[in-house]
Amino acid sequence: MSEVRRGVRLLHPRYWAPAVVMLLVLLALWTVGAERLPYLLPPLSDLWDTLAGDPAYFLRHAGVTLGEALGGLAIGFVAAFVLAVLVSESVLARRAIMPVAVVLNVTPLVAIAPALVVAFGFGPAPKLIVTALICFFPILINTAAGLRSVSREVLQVFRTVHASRWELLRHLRIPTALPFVFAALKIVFPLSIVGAVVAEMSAAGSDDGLGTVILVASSMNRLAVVWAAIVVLAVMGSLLLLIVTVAERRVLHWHESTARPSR
Amino acid sequence: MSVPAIAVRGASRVYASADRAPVEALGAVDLTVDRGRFVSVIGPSGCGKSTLLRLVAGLESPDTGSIEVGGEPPERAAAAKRLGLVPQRPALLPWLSVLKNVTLPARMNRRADRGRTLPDAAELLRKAGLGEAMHVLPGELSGGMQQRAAIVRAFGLHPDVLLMDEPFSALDEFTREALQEQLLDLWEELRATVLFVTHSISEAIRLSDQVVVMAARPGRILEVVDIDLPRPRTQDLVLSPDFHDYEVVVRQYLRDAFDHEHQLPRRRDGGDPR
Repeated sequence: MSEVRRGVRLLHPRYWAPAVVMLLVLLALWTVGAERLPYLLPPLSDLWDTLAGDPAYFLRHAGVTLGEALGGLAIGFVAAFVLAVLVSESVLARRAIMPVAVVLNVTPLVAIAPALVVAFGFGPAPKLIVTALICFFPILINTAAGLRSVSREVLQVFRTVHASRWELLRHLRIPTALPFVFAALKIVFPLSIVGAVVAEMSAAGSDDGLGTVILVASSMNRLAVVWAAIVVLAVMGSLLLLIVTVAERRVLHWHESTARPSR
Repeated sequence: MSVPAIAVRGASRVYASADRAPVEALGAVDLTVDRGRFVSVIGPSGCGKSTLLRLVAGLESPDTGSIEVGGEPPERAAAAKRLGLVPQRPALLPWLSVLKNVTLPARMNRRADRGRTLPDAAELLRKAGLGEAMHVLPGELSGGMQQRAAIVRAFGLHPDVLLMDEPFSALDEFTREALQEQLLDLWEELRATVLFVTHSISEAIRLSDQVVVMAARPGRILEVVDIDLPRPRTQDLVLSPDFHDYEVVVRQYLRDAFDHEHQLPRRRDGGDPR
């Protein structure tokens, strides 16, 4: 089906109405809740006034958090991808790296973050490291599995023409791994924001980023600011996910995971 | 006398596994295939016909004995890109167009292509009836068309020896016969030596100069039947009495292979050795 026809179809209320109704219900519940529990939830109007009153303030902090998230993600991605290639090419590397990676994965990052702040100070370094660490494992596991998922028959065909390891990697393994890599990216793009916010909250002395905004505002009981920052984070995460999904459709148009259901 | 295209001498292969008795997939097999011949290998499952093919392809090494392809070890033949393999499933890469799939082997191990002129892939695809499908992704083609593309990919390097492992077994009868015909056309033109593993008696007879009948446990060659039928092997020939006689002969050998196996004391293992 063409892009345009698909787009037109999405304009039909059948597609967007359920989500809109759900959102309206939630907003109504919020309004009721804010009236009854003014110490827990700010009225929606306050939330709006806060956001609309100083959008530059929120945009600046969102930019800082986004920069940390994407920077950390990039570092984590490169490290995880390189190690995934090593792990899938060499049994020795797999045995050396995987146990350490698993231990790293089960260690709560919230616990590591303060230690990193002590070690690296209040600058961007600990935030990048925490974000890189939180993104690292899903990318490593998925990419390694993808690189190894080339079918036996395909490998046999290209072994009988004596393809080198590098040629197998470049022409077969990496393209085969792409759907796995995108699955990982869909997980780690939102996670990268988690990493950045956790790191900002751990670095109690830093003065920008939405995590810091939330921490400071909640200590001063400014509920509307806290929730405004949360809304910005949610929107940011959704946009990132949207970008990955669109990129995935473009790159993996040949793959069955991007085939659309018929209804 | 010239060097045979394939020479298997006393080659055996045992698959050991931790939790059961070792399986003798192939027990000291001898086979010589002359240049330019089309030879089919047929036999019950577990008779080692696929193992034999993998040994000739250099994908595995024999435990005893030796294999030579054009007078060299299979690894050397592979390094010189003189082998082509068509596996059971098409094994095309879903992200490349049919044409790019077919030309991919030429882009690997380029050193071996020096001083060789490869057949024009687009022309081969047209001959195989895939002219229209050249720029399409494999996922948009039927199973038969995909398998045809896989065959063209193997022929595309103009290999001396073409190894085919039940390439038509997943296709319906009509498609299968059409593909047999196209395979023979390509083969008449490019003249590789073919080792063709199959389950189908009529397929083996129609395609081959020789049919090798194998038996299982241990995998061994029971009989080699020369098929003395004129080429081209048309559809009419398949219905002729001569063709039918060959079918009777090969079927009888296969039955012997089967009986043979079941008269032997059953071993504890008895699984397919893979």
